[in-house]
Amino acid sequence: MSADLPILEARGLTKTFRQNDSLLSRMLGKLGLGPGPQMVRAVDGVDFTLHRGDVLGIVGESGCGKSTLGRMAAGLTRPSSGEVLQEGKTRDVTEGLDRQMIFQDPFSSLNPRKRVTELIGEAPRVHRIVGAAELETYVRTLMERCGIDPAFHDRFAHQFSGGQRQRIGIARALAVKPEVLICDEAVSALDVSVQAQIVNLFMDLRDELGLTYIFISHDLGIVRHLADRVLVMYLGRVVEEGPAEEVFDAPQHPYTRALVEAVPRLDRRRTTFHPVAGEIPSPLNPPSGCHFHPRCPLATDLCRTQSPALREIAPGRRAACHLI
Amino acid sequence: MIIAERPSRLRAFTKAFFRSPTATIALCVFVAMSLAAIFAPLIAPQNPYDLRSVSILDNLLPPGEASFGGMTYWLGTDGQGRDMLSAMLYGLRISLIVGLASGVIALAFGTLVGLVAAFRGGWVDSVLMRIVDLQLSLPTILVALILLVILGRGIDKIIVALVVVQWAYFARTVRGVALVENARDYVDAARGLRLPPLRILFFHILPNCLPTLLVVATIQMAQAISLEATLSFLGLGLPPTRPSLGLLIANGFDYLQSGRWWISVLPGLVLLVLVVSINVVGDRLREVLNPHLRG
Amino acid sequence: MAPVLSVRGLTTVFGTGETALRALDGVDLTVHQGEIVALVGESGSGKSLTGFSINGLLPGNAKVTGGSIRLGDTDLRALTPRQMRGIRGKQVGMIFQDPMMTLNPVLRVETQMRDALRAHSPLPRGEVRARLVQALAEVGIAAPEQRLRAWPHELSGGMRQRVAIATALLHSPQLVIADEPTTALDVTIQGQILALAQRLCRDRGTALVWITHDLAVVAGIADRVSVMYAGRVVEEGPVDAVLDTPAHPYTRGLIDSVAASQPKGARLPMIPGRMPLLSDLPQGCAFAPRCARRSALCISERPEPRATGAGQTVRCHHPLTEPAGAAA
Ligand SMILES: Nc1ncnc2c1ncn2[C@@H]1O[C@H](COP(=O)(O)OP(=O)(O)OP(=O)(O)O)[C@@H](O)[C@H]1O
Ligand SMILES: Nc1ncnc2c1ncn2[C@@H]1O[C@H](COP(=O)(O)OP(=O)(O)OP(=O)(O)O)[C@@H](O)[C@H]1O
Ligand code: SF4
Ligand SMILES: [Mg+2]
Ligand SMILES: [Mg+2]
Repeated sequence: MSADLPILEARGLTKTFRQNDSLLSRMLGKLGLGPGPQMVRAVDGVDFTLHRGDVLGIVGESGCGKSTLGRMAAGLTRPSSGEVLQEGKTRDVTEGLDRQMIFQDPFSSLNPRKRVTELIGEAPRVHRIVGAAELETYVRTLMERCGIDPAFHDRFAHQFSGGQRQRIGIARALAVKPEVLICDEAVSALDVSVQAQIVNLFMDLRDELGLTYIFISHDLGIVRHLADRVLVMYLGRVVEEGPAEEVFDAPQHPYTRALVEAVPRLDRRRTTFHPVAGEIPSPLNPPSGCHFHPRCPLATDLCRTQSPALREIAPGRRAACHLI
Repeated sequence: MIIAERPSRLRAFTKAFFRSPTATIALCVFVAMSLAAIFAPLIAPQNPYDLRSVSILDNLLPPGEASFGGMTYWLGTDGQGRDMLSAMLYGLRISLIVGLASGVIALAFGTLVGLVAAFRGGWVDSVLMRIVDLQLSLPTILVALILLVILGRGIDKIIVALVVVQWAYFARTVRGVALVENARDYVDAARGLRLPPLRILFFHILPNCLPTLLVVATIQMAQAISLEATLSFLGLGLPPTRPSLGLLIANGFDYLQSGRWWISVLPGLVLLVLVVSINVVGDRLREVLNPHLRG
Repeated sequence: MAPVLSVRGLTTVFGTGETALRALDGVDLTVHQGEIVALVGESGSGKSLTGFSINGLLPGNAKVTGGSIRLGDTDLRALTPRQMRGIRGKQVGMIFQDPMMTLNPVLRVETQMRDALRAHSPLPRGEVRARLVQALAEVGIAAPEQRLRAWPHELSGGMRQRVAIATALLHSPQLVIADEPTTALDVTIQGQILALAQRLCRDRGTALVWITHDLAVVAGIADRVSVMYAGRVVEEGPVDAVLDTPAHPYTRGLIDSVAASQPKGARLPMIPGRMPLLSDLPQGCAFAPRCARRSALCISERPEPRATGAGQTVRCHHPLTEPAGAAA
């Protein structure tokens, strides 16, 4: 438990999925009779370092691999290559209770057939984190801590509002005493006023329990508010990384710039939007070289042929662009 | 804060079910027939299996005739002088036992296969599902006939045959529902909490498959009963000494020409009412449960 | 100049008799030519319902029971369903969050756009295609000839939304009601659609009602904004006035809840509680149970709209634009 070792470190995390993966298409592919399954590189060689008590934000548009990266960090998905180190030691990613995930959909993330007590109390009971005698008090304490009235311990999840359900999901994760919470769009489905309540809860828990977070969101405002460092992803790769405020206030990568520019802000009234052109390319068939080149206003021939490495551009900041 | 004091799901479900008068009647009919079958030894005027109580002299009496012994055969007698009412009550009993037993066994086995396929995925899933496809592509009656020819007669044999032709429906349905459930975040959450896989399978995924299973089970039970009747009618399946509804129909078939309709038509009617009522109940279950499946 | 759309005291209920729920209660909305008016509020506040009440697409159990809806000189409430169909699509365009509400998945883009075009203007066959190509090009679709032959599922989300917009614009309607059209889209694609909407209003003078729950989008494109809460418009006014000096405590709370409005890492000010259910709306101000400024008056009497000095109209007994002493 040395203090300077990062609590979590990812090295070259890569995940490829086979699309169109049926026995038949696989056989046809092997026999040379068809294209066979297609490969999607959902996450492509991502590194990050996470220190205890830090919040790492991951932003990017849909399909860029945020969730897949988060699931690998949480040990729910096995990486195709690369590894996750915990306090400097490699470990089988699918072990241990110290990394828990908070999900986007407050409806599908709670088992509709279980009561709140069981939702929160099942894991600590199965793992013998608390004895049978203390379980009830334990669950009540957790409910109280997360802002759910313990009187409702006997209810089913469908009897609660979205924000309340999200609190139940958080209490369920906290019940196994995790050190890292991976929040995948954990507030995106909620109304703004409820979002604020949950964001506050996350910040309180961080202060009280010394939790470390990976906070995945497409909402740059919330990530800027919460995160110490941020990873910007585009089609499976990290294009820019650095302290959250610096990245959002002075983005370096053309994609980050386009992203920051495109986000409407409360203090920019009746702006004329000058959006970056083009669609997000299909991850099935990503552009050559730098993935962003078809949409990039600065693209050169080099960008079209060679993919830029993620390099240090200033102390503590990295970007993957030939022109920086 | 609670959105609303909603009634429990079970209560909402029962209320919705009984909103359909047809389904309510069908359920009552089914329950009444089941009770009659269960208590057949108590309510039947005669024990048709007990040859001493059957008199051949009373054979082929039309409904309402009285016997030499003074008892009235309200629904007539068959070729061996058995009271039709008693024979049908006992026949119903056998039909229901066969339908229920084969349904339950096929459900258990098919559910296990479907769950394993969905949960393991990969080649396990591929292999299991190809077997299911194969099974489903063969004509049901043919498979059952061949099996019975090989196995011979007997209530256990026919249950085996029915299970063989039915489990695949359950396996495929359960796999479909389980795949959907498996992709839901609550299953990922359970995995993240490192709950044992079997626990996730049986205590998280399976309970959420139950509504669908209940519907399929009802419909399959009706299927099994009519299949058993068909097989018995064809002379396979149950021994003639312990006739099910199908065998009763077959026995009376020869007499139809000579105008003794009751021997065949009455058990036929009972079979029809039974199968239709189960199907109506099943359809209503499907209607009522479907919206619940979508969370 | 007379407004394109003028809604006064719109009241819409679900169900009938004793159990009827008042989902919209006295909604006012005015949109002028070339103006973008945003309708903002949290989930369930009645934004979509306002849109549907205007264009007559209410669900079967809902009914407009009061108020007036005027499109130019036409009283929309006086029209027969048949006349309403003649206006919908031709004079009032609709864009939804899910473009598949507009697009039929089993028809090619060309087929459905052609049907939409010919429903209101009988063009000769030869000209139809040219008109459609032009319509797609106007919303920024590259290679429109090829896209016409595509099926909806072959298009990306942003592209589908553009096709839906192009379809809604075919007859150059005076008024377009856009119900959260960018909520499901990615940020850079949302930027493209917002730019498109701005261009539309500027170049064609279309009046636009933009329904959203995102205050930042409101800031970005709208001229005026109406904030909805529990079926009522609680505050209305020019965007700058409403966002910089909100008069209603709810508007204030909503703005403060947005993380970007607060210093980094600070606790976000929260509005306690949640929106009341339609089935038990408070008797007075619907926001009273959550409001820090409430008085006995707020609980007993519902506030009527009133003007503030700064240009807004607000439904509040103790608006923030008045000295706090008044809130005693
Ligand atoms: N289980 C899977 N099987 C096949 N492909 C997958 C699977 N999970 C993700 N993908 C693909 O990997 C890519 C990245 O997906 P991912 O869900 O990680 O993106 P995301 O950044 O979280 O997007 P969103 O913002 O939409 O949630 C997508 O192209 C997706 O289609
Ligand atoms: N078919 C319906 N039957 C009964 N009540 C309904 C129906 N549709 C909507 N409502 C109610 O009407 C109110 C307004 O709904 P509406 O869809 O206009 O909200 P909204 O502001 O568009 O919310 P969102 O941001 O979720 O789209 C809500 O309280 C909702 O529960
Ligand atoms: S009327 Fe009263 S309760 Fe309602 S918002 Fe204004 S001050 Fe608050
Ligand atoms: Mg995701
Ligand atoms: Mg809506």
